[in-house]
Amino acid sequence: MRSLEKMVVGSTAQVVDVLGEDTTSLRLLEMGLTPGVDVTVVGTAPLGDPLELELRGYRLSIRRNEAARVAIHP
Amino acid sequence: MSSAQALDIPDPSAATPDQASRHLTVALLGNPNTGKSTLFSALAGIPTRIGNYPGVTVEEKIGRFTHRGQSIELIDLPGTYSLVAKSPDEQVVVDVLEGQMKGVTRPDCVVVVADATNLARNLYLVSQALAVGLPVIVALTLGDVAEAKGIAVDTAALSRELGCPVISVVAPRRLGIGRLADMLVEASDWQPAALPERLATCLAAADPARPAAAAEAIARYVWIDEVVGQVVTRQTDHRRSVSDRIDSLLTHRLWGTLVFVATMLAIFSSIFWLAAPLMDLISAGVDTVAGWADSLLPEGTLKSLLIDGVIAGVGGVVVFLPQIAILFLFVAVLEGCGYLSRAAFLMDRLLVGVGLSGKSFIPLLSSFACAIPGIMAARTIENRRDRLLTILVAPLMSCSARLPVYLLLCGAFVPNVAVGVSWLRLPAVVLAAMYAVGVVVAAAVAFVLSRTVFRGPPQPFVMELPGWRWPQPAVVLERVREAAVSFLKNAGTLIMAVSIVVWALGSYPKPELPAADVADAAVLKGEALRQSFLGRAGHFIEPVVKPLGWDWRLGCAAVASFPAREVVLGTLGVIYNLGDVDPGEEEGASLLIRQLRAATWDGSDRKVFTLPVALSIMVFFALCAQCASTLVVIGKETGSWVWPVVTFGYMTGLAWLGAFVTYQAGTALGW
Repeated sequence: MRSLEKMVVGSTAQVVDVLGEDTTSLRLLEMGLTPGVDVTVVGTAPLGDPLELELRGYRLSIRRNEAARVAIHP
Repeated sequence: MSSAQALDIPDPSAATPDQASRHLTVALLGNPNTGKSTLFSALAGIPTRIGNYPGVTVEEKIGRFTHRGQSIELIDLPGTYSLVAKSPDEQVVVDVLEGQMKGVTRPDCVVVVADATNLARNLYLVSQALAVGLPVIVALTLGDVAEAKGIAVDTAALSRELGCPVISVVAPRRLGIGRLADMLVEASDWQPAALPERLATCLAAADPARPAAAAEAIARYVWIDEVVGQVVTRQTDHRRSVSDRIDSLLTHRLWGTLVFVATMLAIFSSIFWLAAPLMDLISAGVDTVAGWADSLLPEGTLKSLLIDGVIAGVGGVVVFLPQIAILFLFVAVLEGCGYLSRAAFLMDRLLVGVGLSGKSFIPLLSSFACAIPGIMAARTIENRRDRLLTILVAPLMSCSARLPVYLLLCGAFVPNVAVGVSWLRLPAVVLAAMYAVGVVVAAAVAFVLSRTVFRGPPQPFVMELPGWRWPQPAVVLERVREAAVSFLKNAGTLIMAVSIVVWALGSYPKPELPAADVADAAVLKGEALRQSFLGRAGHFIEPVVKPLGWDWRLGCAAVASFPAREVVLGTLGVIYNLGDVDPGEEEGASLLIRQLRAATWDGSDRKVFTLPVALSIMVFFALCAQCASTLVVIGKETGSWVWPVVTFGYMTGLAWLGAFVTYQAGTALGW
């Protein structure tokens, strides 16, 4: 399955799941990255990491290694 | 919109007569960046109490106000996204709400602040608050901003869905504040909030195959999506809002970076230059007070204690107040408009490499002016580990107090020759190298500590980038006031105590002087210092400083400069028999330089100050923790005296090592 980390800037996809059972995964869920939600990669920081996302009408920044836990479709 | 009527409010006669005399406790709960601080100011004004919760370094902020004869105590809880505690901040929130926090009465009701522009994510916390067993009121903020973005929230419908009152407030314009206060007075008689039926159903249907907390989070969002679908209407025309446009400029790879560099340069130079006239004013004030004390008091121990100990010690610290106020003014404005998170976003990758995070950037940058405001600015880092690591390395940034030391030694002992091109002189290169030494060592220390002492599970960097908005003057001023007050409290107590101790060590025991020497005041002063505990300490540590190329007098000057590095210039003057030397005065400085150039080892004509020695002194002062105020502030900010001891230990160790390598290498290379 594709991960959010591999998304192209400007593209939108749907979250399928957040992998992992630690507090980081829980935090991602709590911030609204739940299965079924649409997420857009708005941009990245100058050095390519972290990512700037838009979901549920707000902007969220997460690092690439956190984005790698988020499975998306398509 | 009349939400309160929809609820079952118990018979007012049930209230006992003495209930009015008892004050009500209300907790203010909410996500970060929801306008919670603005609402706090609008309700309670200036907080009556700011401190730390017992045993943790989480800020406790409490305000008091009276509404319709009812005294209300308002607890501003730290901003949080969830009541499943993952950090000390969140644990404090949970403990206060459950009445488990020592010394804090359980609130009578909870006001959950929810941002109307971002209702879905804010409802997550609301859904958890409804289950804590207290009456809940939802204060819907930023409705005006939401409206401008084409988002409309039906508050009456939201109130029905949540089963609790929802009040729309625009705190800066005081809209809805009166109604909210009215409701707080009534709320103590209400039943605790109940879980909405649909939410209970969703939670019951949570996926049993997942860990409970994760399954619950997903279930809550299922319910939230239902609620948002019913109460929020968005204009279909999806215009790019002003906020979005500003955002795409300021997080742009090129333009964003340029704006960032310009902003940081502006902040950095204001801490240096804007503060300078104010600092001069404070210095002049301190001198005036010292002058009064000098003329009013009789000669003796008391006078010396007051002038050389108390006034010089505290005065030397209070001088940093303008820098602290200016830095916090910038930090509060940047935080209020949403730039602080963008700055952390832009710098994160660079700092992650050495084990820090993007949020460490501003505290570290500020530390080039002075480590004290820098360490205090680390309050903006929520993550405990990142915050501690930032505080520990911040004093390695070359602060403005090191500059006079560098300037003196570079000017006196580094040959003024060109390096490669004619305009690039060696002293300037050495000066730049001293700044680089601090940065490189800080990066190395952070790298090592983050992989040893502070090793642990990866720290998530899941950070909201809040919408752009105007900072609220009341919140900005409160932030500046708070920083200034907490700094002055330190200066007035601990820093004064340290100054007195150091004064005593430098003044006792009183010298026994041969009568012939008493004629010259400078000689007298030098002799007094030599015979004091401090002077003896200099002799005592001579074996330790000899490998650095230092004689015992340099060791003594280093020990005496423990309260503040810049003191070393005055001490060098005293100990090499010069009388007081003002580091800022050109003539005095050149006199000091002549004196230092002439200094020889005891009982020989070998010069003390050579190029390797000057470099070793500079490297030592670049890396050492010779600043009592910084150590005191580290103790205050971390809530533990372990960390100042650790900081002093590791920095002094590195300083010695750096100076040793510099001197030995310099000597071996025949500089």
